[in-house]
Amino acid sequence: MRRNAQNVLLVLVGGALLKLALTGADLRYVKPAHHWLVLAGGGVIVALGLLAIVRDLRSGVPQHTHGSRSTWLLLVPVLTILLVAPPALGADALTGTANAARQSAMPALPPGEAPELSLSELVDRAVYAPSTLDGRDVTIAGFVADLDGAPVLARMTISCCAADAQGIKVRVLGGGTAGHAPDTWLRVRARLRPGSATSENGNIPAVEVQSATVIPIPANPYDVR
Amino acid sequence: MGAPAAVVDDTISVPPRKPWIGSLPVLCAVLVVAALLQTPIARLVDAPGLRTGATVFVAVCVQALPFLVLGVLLSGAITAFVPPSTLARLLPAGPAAVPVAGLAGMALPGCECASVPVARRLIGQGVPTAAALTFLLAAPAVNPIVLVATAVAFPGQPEMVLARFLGSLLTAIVMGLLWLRFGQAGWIAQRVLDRCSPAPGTSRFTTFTETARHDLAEAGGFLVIGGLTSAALTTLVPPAVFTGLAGNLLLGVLTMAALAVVLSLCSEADAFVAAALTGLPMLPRLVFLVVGPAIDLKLFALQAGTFGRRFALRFAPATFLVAVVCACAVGLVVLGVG
Repeated sequence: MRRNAQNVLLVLVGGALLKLALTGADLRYVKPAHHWLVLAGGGVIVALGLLAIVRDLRSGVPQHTHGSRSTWLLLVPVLTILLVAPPALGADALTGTANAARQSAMPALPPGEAPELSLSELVDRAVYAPSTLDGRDVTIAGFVADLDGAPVLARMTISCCAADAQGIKVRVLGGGTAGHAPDTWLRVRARLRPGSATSENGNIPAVEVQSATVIPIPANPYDVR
Repeated sequence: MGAPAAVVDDTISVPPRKPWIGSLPVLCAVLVVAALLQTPIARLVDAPGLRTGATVFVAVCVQALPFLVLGVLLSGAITAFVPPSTLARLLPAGPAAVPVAGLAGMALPGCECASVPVARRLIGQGVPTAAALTFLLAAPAVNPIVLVATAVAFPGQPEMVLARFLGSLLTAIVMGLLWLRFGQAGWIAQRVLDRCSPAPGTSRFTTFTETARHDLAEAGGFLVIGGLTSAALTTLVPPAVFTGLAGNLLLGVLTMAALAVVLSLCSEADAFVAAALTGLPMLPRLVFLVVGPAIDLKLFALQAGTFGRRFALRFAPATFLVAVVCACAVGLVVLGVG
């Protein structure tokens, strides 16, 4: 690929990163802590490309140097980001692997009707401190999915980018999410079925759903751990 | 200012081909056609399996590109601002340079994509190849960010952090010493070994930005190959294939080593994935953490693009073997069996 085309392509690559960062769409792919890295990285790539273009225009010497052909491949992410804009991982990416529960300090739930818990908090508590959920309703949010024929509410967790995503799943009892297509995001008021998360079933707790409302996909679709 | 491209453009030795059409018109045509076909392309990628793969692919690129940028800025800075004599003074002569280079890896807080262009320019500035390669292997694994991430992922198990640090450092040093003994300069593409000497009258800033631009354009495409491969394999190979095989220790070690290569995770994230595989003993998980930052598909593609295919085909399998052996040896001492 010639130098002048390389420079244009670099501006496009940087521009694609900037577009993701400025619209917040980067949260579909990387954790929020990487937001500034994406912004700065995109900015530097655009600057390197523009500097070289300006330099060539000023020097007036036509640049016919050839770089490696591999640079063409940078078109693939550019076109994928600008034209396809793949969505955040959802029901398709869910697998039957065990929930990763983590032990940490788990104080009593805050007072109130049905306090909000993230799905991973609910799973952590169901596995390590189920008594904190005794007789309490909680509010959880996630997308509808189907796991081996059983309905679940799930959310992906990432620790760096979507390539390392793992699903956190909660089984839904009594048809609480029936009628909602996979990948529909719901906020539900639910109560844990005591003793339902065991190491035999992969630490996947079960909940009875009292009520469910459809919500838009959150700005950050992932639970970050 | 003359012809700035000649500053660091080491590809001009390629005999000038006369393509019937320039790159820029081709690029424009591709962009126009792609924009016109946006709807059918988007629909095609919307198939369930492809959709997940596309998301993972974009995620690998978006996550890795900023680190590659960090790497090329450093490689540009080394070329423009660090005279070879300074580097020669900093590194001890002979084999002692290898462990020093390994420990120097602690100073580059990034993941593996950043270290490839840096190692390349270190060689260009006269650092012995063995020391630069040791730095290449050590930097992504022993820097403070990665060690802290490991400590967070394995709470209450500081021995895991120690084992990872020692296993990765040992891998890097052993590979450096092996290169001293067996390595041949001929395996590395000539363009890497050519000392880049700026044209007279070029400002340091020009050298800096031109080197960074050049290294980015050269390495970026190979990052894309790595991202595509790892997205395809992540989507196509169900994780149960790996976890199911992990029943006995030896099989577990080998499958986790293979998994580390296939997944091509960022070295800042792999500890969390290893921590989640609770069904496995500690040793296979340590192997996963030591092999991943040293060699994976993404790195192999980057190395092949930067140092040449002849180099990567020899260096990558050797790194894999050395990393598995070093991780097991350190694991048995620090973690015990199991």
